Amino acid sequence: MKQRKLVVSASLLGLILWAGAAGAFVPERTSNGLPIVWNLTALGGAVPYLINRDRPTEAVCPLTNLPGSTVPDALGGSDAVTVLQNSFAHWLAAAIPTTVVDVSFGGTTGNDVFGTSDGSNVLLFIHCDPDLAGGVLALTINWYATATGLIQETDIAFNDDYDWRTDGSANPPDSYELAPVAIHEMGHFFGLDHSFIANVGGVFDPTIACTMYPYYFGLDAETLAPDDIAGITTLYPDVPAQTAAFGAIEGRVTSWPNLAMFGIHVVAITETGKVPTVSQPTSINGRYRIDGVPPGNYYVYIESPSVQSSFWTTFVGPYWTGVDKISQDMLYRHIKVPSAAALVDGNAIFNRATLVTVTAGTTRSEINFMVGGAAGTNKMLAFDFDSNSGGCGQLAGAAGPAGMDLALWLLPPALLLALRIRRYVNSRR
Amino acid sequence: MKPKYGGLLVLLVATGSALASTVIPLSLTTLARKAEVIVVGRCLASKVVWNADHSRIYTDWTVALEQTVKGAPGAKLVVRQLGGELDGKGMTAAGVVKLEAGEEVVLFLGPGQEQGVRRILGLSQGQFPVGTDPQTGQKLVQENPAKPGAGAAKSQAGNQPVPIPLDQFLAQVRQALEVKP
Repeated sequence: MKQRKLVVSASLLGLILWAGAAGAFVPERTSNGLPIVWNLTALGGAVPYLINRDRPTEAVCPLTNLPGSTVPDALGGSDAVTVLQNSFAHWLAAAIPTTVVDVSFGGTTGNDVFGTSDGSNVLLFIHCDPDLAGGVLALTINWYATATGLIQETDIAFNDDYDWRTDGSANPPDSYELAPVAIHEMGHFFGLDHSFIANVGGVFDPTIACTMYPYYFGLDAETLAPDDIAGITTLYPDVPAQTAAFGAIEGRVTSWPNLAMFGIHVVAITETGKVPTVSQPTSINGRYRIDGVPPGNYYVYIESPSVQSSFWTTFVGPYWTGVDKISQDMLYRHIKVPSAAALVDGNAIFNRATLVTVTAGTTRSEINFMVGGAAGTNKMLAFDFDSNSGGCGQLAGAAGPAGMDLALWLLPPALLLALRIRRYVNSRR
Repeated sequence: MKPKYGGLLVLLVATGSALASTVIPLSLTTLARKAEVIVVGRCLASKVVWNADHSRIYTDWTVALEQTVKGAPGAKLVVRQLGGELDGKGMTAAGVVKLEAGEEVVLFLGPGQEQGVRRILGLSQGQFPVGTDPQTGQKLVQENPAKPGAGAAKSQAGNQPVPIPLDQFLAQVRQALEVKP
């Protein structure tokens, strides 16, 4: 058996708080903000792929100092080719009728080059790769055209520095299950980035965590969460089926009075259980639209931008670069979010909140949030968190007057200009 | 020193916790032991490059070092990150941490296959952004709040990640290095 004595103990940073981030599905994007996706039409409706079943020679890796073995992994169950094919099935139209995505297996290959743009989409095992050093179980590399965002090629590498199992017997840190890791990587294969829906009330729950959550959490990742399904449906929708199965919530997040809030996560959590289900960020004009919401009753709340992790760099980052990123903080300084621990059943704060009922094929509109408004001046539509924020967390009523959209588009650059002027003035003092 | 930007801490938390693909959550102890080099530094500039055989795109960051906790890297080093856009082609590896010019970071660096460059250990797990408390000017470090182990403790405020002073963080790192495996 390979020796894998990785210590996966609790962090020494015991003071750090899980902030209860919901973290919606996020498409991978180019530096210009284009989603990175396959052109299924050009591919005849299915993305081709190959599998290299060969396992690298097990030897001590000089880069990682991980000791090797000449004994192959005892997968214990199905062979890797079968497991990987079955893993793809979780994402496809046969399992998720609201999407049209499909793949075609082209057989096994001897191609053992990972990450190189060589025209083939290959799933393979690699060993001793410096890009996977230090706890990386698997990695997906997408090649795309920068002008269009269309994927040209994708490889998935499983790190054979670790022991793999296929029979449910994995026992981290000595061994890991192949299927849940593969299903996660296949989400990247189709263009999904990481999502952080993983908890209720600030406590990590593997039964809630979505498949695109980046940390290994075992077999529970094999079951796609609503957030994962919403993600793949959004990228590759079967529009009639999508309409028949899901509803949507849309609205706008503004600071008082009507300053667009850009890049704010708006999260729908279930009435029962308070499970974060689907969420989306606001666009540059403060508007958001959450598609792929299963019918039901939800509370809706906005989430602090301080816990949005990779979402920020993939979605907001392209628009707010360099020193101007400080302007995001200037925009968001008012935001105070409810305690993660408060987002649980039975908390009295929900008595003041308004339920949003979603039905299939319909859109609940104007679920608006206003941050920093005068207390008591706006109708409460969703989650009330003003008790924690001294009046800064008022929830919004109706949308602003017609014609405000143009002003909202212009406000961020105007704010940037104001900040630059302020910096200049400060520098002259 | 007067803080230049109020609320920088919130910003750095937002920008600094991108993650790798499927990863094993590594404790600070594990990161410290596995790293060949541990430094506090400031990101100066980046350059997108092809690797030697023109098969992968990397983004190389030059980092000016302010403190060295482990190893002897010199005054500057180059941190190589997978992905970037060059010659009309883009290459992305989901969630690889994106450094920013001017950003101050604690880096746990692994081995580099190419001479003169190093990689962040665990892709993004070995990167901790450093910010400045707008009231006190104290430098603070924030662990990724989405990490499973990071949810064990709750703050009194209950709604924001709790950063710790940089000096305290580095003391924990040094302590981890002193403990025998």
